Amino acid sequence: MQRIGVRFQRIQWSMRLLGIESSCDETALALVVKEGERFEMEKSVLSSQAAMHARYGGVVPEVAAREHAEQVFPLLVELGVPCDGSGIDVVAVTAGPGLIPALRIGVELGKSLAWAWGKPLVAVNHLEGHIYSVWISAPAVLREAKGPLKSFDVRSEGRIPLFPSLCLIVSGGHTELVLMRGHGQYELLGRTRDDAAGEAFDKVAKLLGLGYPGGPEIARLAQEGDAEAIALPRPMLESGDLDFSFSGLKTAVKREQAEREQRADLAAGFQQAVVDVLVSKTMKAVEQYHPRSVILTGGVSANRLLRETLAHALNARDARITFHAPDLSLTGDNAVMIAAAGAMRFEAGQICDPLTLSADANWALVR
Amino acid sequence: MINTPRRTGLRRFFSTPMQTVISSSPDQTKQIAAKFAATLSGGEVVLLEGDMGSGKTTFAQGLVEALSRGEGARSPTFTLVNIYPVSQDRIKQVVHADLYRLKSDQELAPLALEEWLGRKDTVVLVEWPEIGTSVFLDCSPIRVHLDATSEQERLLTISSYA
Repeated sequence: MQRIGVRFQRIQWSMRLLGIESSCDETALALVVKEGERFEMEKSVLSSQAAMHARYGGVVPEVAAREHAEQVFPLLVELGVPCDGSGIDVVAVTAGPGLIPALRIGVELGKSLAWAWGKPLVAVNHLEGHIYSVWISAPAVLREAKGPLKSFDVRSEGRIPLFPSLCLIVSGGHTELVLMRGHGQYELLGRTRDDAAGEAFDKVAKLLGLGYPGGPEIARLAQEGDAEAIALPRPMLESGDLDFSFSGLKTAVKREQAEREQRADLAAGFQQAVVDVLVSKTMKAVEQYHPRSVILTGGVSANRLLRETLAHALNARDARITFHAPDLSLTGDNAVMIAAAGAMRFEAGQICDPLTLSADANWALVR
Repeated sequence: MINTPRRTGLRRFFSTPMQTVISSSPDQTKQIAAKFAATLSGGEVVLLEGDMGSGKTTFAQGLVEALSRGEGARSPTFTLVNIYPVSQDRIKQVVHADLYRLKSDQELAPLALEEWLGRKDTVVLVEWPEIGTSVFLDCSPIRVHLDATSEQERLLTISSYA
């Protein structure tokens, strides 16, 4: 059996994966093709897509977004997956970390399909998925590369991250600095001790009377403000480690807000403070660990100021370090990244038994 | 099946059923939370109330650190529920939930908190509990209210709903 497995992997020059993600609010499915070192996104569907709801019975409120079960079949139909699974080589599913009732939906779907189709099943860590989102070349990448970020968009030059790679994962639920020494080899360097960066954006947006999600709203308002008008703290900047804290920054904004009217200045000052801390800690990690590439990923990686500031800092430090951030369509939770990470796990031979796999709410990327 | 909080334990530290404590720093809030944690025996439901920035997550961190003697708690606002393993005789885990993002009590079901409520080996901590108060009232919850009286100072009111 072992020998057959090895041979199978060698001749597998191209594989097509079904990715499944349901760790928090979003249910997502995707078809991804891996050819050599490259990933091509074939199709991606999300439960939050308005078009999907319109087609399958009205808009589903946020409450149902976490009750993913009834959304699974419309999504499978939308994705165009054949009932017999023909054309799909591997099923990849997020098994953690996340909210157990939500995770279970995706995990059980993945197990059922893999078992019924007789296809290999791989379990993917959600954070690992975010990291692999930079390996994917989506059609939208080309559009984005035409923008002002072109000089930092290394994917437009057709490169993939070299190891060791330093990963900054920033989203609503996570803020982590991870050193990746190779595929599947992670070392946790630092993380938030309280609020995630994306959560801070959302809560400050609410304080300022802005909409949800808070990241884009704050970025928009910040354009009209002066980031230096109001002095806000840079939490943990001198802590000596690579951990983060954003809870105090949120409280500081609340305090300043009680005394001032300039919402745009507060938005600009807050955004600058978050970016300063994230970039400063990332650069400290660069100095300590000498990575050959830096990956910025997760929902907050869509923030333009963060992308540009980090890209500039890296360029100034050592232009040989390549900088990678996902296509804007892949910064939030999606199944494309899960399929990409799943391909790496499959190639490493980490195949799960569809009869025994279970979701793990606390699955740490680094054990 | 629902275990009521041990009043005797609470009295040792908080001499009356309702007690107020003033904290002058986040560190002190954590210390108060640690002392409070020592009165817990498992099965309790602790509701953390207070405005944004009043120190609910800080209190939760102090409590989790005291019980687990290890890694601290992080905000569960996005993840909705964080579960911290505890290796004690009685308490095996702290379930840290945050209802901030929920819009109605109908959204509680997907969090599956009922799997934990009232379990004798579990302490359930809930931030922004207001939306689910009707569910938690059945569990004789302990209420911890945090009030920002100044930039650093917090007034903590610990009481029971029963």
